[in-house]
Amino acid sequence: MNGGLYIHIPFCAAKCAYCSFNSIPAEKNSPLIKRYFEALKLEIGRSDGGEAASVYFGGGTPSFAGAELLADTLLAVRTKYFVPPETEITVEVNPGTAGKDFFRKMKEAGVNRISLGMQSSDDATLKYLGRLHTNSDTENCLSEARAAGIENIGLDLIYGIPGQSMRDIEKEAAKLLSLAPQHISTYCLSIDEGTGMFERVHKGELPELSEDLAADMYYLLKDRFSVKYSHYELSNYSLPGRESRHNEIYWNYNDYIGFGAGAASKRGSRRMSNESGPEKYMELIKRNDSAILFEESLTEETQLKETVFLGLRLLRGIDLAGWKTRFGKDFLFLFEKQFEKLAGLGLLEQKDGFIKLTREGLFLSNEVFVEFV
Amino acid sequence: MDASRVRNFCIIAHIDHGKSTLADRILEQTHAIASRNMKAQLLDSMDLERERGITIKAKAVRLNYHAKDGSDYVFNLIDTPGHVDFTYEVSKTLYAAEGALLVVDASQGVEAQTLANLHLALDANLTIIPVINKIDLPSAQPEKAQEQLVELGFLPEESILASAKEGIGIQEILEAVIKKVPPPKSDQTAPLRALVFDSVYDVYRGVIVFFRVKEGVIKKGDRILMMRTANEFEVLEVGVFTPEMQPADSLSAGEVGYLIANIKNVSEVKVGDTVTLATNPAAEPLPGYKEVKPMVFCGFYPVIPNEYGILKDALDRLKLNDAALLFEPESSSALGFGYRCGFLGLLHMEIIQERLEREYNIDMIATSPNVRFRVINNAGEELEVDNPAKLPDPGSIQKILEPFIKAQIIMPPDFIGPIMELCQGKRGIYKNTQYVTANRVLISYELPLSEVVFDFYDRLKSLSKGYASFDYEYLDFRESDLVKMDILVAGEPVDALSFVVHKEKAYYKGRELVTKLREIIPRQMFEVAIQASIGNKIVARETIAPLRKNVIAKCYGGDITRKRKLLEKQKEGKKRMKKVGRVDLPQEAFLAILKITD
Repeated sequence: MNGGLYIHIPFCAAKCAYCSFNSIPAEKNSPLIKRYFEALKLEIGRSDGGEAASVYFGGGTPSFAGAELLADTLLAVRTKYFVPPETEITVEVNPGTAGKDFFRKMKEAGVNRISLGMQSSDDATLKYLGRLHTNSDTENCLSEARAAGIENIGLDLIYGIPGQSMRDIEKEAAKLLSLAPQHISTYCLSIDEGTGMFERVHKGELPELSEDLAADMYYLLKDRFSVKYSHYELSNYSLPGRESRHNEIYWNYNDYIGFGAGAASKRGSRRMSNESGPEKYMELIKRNDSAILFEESLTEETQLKETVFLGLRLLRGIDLAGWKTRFGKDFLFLFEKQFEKLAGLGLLEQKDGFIKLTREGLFLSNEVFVEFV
Repeated sequence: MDASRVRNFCIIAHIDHGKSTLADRILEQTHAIASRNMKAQLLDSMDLERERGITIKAKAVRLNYHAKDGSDYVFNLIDTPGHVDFTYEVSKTLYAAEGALLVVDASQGVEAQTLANLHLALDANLTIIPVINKIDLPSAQPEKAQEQLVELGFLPEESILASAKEGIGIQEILEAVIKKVPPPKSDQTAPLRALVFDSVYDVYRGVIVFFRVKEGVIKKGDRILMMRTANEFEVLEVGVFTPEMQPADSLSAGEVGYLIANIKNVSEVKVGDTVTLATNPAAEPLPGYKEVKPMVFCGFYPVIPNEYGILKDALDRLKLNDAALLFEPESSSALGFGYRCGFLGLLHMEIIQERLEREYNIDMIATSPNVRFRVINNAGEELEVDNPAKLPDPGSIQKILEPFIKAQIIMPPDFIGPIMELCQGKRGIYKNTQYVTANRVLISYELPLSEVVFDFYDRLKSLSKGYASFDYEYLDFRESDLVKMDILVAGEPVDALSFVVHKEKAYYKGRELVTKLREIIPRQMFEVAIQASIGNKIVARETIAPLRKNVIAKCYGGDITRKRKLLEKQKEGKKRMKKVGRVDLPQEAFLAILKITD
């Protein structure tokens, strides 16, 4: 089967204060990590194979596992899947977990894109978030990757952190631009239940950032980055041609296969996801054919809904002609009522054959999406 | 039946003092356990009942008791309604008996309902047997409870120490019933007069009427007349619950039982009415009948308009078994079509609301409760208004009257200060203070009911740390300086948010309510003004800034199912809101007025 390949590496040196992703702290080079990669190889080896539209190592902190295990896994992928040259192969890296040697080995293995978890350029903020690195780690990491010949690099930025001001965001934007990455992802900090930060906000130890300030920050970043970069998805910016191909697979509602704990796959009208606990995942892989714990059949109605709320995340919006080819019906015929209402509220617009979020609609996108689910 | 061997009695108590446990224990001692060999038969009949869907709750049970004196007695244990809103029903039930067990929790002592029920029982001329229950508890202080009972006029040796849970004192109670409770008078020759004290609806048998024959005889086939409502029925069956239904040939003066007469609706049978024979009617009905009128009102509206029919069916069904529940269709410009419902009191309202939501699964908005106002207009005409939105134009009103209640509150003396402050804040008129014992004090207030429906009970409980107990009865209608407060959301008056308030409190309440609403109403896509007005005069205003953030600004990779579920959850939340004009109002908005403290 053809599609984007996602490989989940759930290990981190430590859990960040805000993190609600599927990740666990682990010892570097521990037997646990090695066993996990064995299971991954088994899972990849048992899959149907086909052509890879992209390969993405996400986490957790893939770089924390070290270059050898990642390269080894990529080899397992290549024995099962045809990975054409030029295929985007991304590894998520946390500053401080990767050096010269790591990037050289990754480059050799064929990795051509790095997503670097910078999160902030301010050391105090990084500490506050529970990150283990400093800004100079980020800068070193960036130059080592470039020196190794990996030229497609994305940087991640978190904003909306309690205590953060508009001036802080101005500084973050300027710093990020000075680093000249090919891609920028911005995430508004959400304080999710079960995280260390949630506990502290709940107890009143931390203030919650106002929604208005978060919105102001979002639009400030948009305006700063849009001078040089294309704002192509709600939270993502890129230089021309440097959009994240792997993530575009999700937004365009194409197929993908996930490997590892908690990873999700979509094949046509079926979606499934693996057991998310790493130990349990390994156990299931050892005992059974797969670690799939959840599987759903997507009705046409669900597929329509999902195509809308994923497609509208892209700033270009939903291509009306493309929609008709795909589903055989006019978008506006199916969703006239919703469109009228949302256009009336100034959240959605039709322009040049596309239905898309307005500028105001971007940070209110859930208001739009709920109308379609 | 030999009336001298009959004893009719009931159990009265403050809530949770152990009334039901004692009743269960008495049932065990007199029936189920004594006749072990009957058990199989009983079970069979219960299975049959279950199969046919009959789950009739017996309101009176006939029990056979073999006493220490060697004789066999027949007991009729009559169930009394459990809470304060049903004072009238309780009093009618008491009239069906000659005696009452007054149960007092050994650790809690005498409470407000203990007193209220005791007074009702004394009014009904009942012989009272005080029972100090739960003596097995480590916190039990039976001697203190006894002291309190002595203060109430009982002799120290009269109180029976018991633990219904442990089966202690049950025999002694049953013997006391025989010795102290007088047998019923039995005039079988007079024309029939039977007191209706309760009724239940059963799907298969229709209405089952519970009654006490005061004079004469009633039998199957009799044509009966309900003297207050003038309804006539033919008796299809008379009988007693033992606790299974057991038909009898006839029931005569002094006996308690049930009748079935093809009655379709409990509303056709009024509690307190007198049953007589249509062919040979009694000259006078039994005294003390009252038409029960609802005192508290609120609107019920389905959140989804097309569930209106479901709401109506549900109310119809509840009404089958609840004569006190009144409802009529009503439309609100804000909420659409719904029902204005009348209740005996707040608790009654809560019970109905909960049953509609739980048993019938109706997503609905309940507007804040209000009382019935009596308006005298300039032409001198009197009209009753049970919905604040329908109060006539202030210019046409000569005066407004509102119902007052007499409240009795019992508590440890430490709480007198705060509780009196609460009552004063509720426009209460202080009547008196009375020490029940050194550490139990009773204060009486006259209060406007409209103030009691707004957050009185909860505050009473919190101010007294749960130690105060409360009982009330209706007094009369009194003139008050009342005004109607309207609430405008985004410039539109929301009729369902209107309320009637005393002029002195109007500004404060208006201000507090708009502040509360600003917290409760979620931010919308546009700025929303919330205003409180009296007539055309705006007295308070708050503004809700437009919504600016609602986004999943985070990648969950390929876990799109999770994203979709998050969105579906948000949509569900939106659905539960009521769109009024352009604004989505959550259900809490309609009850916000209840959250304002005086």
